Amino acid sequence: MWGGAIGGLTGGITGGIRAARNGNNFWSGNGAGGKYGNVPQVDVGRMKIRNNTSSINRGSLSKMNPVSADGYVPSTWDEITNQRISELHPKLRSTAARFINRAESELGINLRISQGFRTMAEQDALFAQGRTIAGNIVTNLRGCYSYHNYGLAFDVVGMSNGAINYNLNWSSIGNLGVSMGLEWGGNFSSFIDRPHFQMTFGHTIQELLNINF
Amino acid sequence: MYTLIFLLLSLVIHDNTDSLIHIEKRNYSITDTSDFQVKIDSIKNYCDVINNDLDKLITKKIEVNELSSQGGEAIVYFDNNIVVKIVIVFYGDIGSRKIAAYYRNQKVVRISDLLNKYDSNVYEGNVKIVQKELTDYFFYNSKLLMTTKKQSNYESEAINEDIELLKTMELIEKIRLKT
Repeated sequence: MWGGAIGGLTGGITGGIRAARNGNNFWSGNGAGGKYGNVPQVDVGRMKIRNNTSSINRGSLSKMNPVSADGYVPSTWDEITNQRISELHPKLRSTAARFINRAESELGINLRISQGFRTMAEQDALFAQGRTIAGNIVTNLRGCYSYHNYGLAFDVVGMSNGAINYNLNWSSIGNLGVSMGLEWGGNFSSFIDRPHFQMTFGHTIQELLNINF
Repeated sequence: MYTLIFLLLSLVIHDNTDSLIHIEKRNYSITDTSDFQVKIDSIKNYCDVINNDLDKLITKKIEVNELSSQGGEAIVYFDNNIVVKIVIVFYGDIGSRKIAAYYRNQKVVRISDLLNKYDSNVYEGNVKIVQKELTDYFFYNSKLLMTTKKQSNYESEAINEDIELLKTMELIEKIRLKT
């Protein structure tokens, strides 16, 4: 029963890495790459992906998978959000779409996914900031080391009359996300990141790197 | 004239009393207030000495990438194999946080917690820091002696602030134990 779900996840992740390294967009394979567009990918030489899936905790994966059986991904109020949901990991799409819709119907908040999947080149560009190019250091993660690089994380903003709004009832939004199985950045004890949501399926980044390629 | 001086003195005393009572209400037990400022100054001086000697101390870097959305790292400073300072930087999508913890005789004596907020999300590129919020916590015998954080008048908020501090201390302790 769980074989399909696990296969879907591992196939999706590894396919996504392959697509990203080949310069394609992640899951969908289309050219809509957001702000950075379909940028050429850099080869992340230090990334070592082994032909070994034994390190994956399959038991916890199956228990933590909250996706509905039919995998139906409803449309949201926002076309940009729909596009970004289509770039997320397949196992996260349904939850992300239902989360946006429930925020609208239950909380009266129009949320937009401001970023979901982030290419490895984009992550490497962020890593370069303040180190090899001008600006403040904003990350300690190179490409492949962010859950965004696997389509397993997304950020949201509120939209009011076409304008971005960060002045939201984040507590309600966060609680809604958590009730749907998402991890909320507002609960991080390191740095409180209220717009950030992720669903890691119990995997650490190191485990994601080790998944069969 | 004397009446005016008396009134002014009363106000000053009243203010001090209020602040002490407020701290006591939050169970930050101050058993000896007479040398309160002496203790704070002593801790500050100790931290200054460490910071002046940082380049002479042995350091160890620890990655703490799994704890925040943009990862982070810790630098632990040792003096004769004893931890005297830990600096942790966490990066998030909308800001960063730098925590510096100082140790004397293996007990934490000060935590400086700097929160930077960006003008936008990091993926929008070239973010600027638009808000900085620094909070200092001073400890004596492992008990909180003083904080520069503006304390809430509401009990629930005050409890949340205490929980936040405990979480921060737990984080620092986890990293210290990794060494």
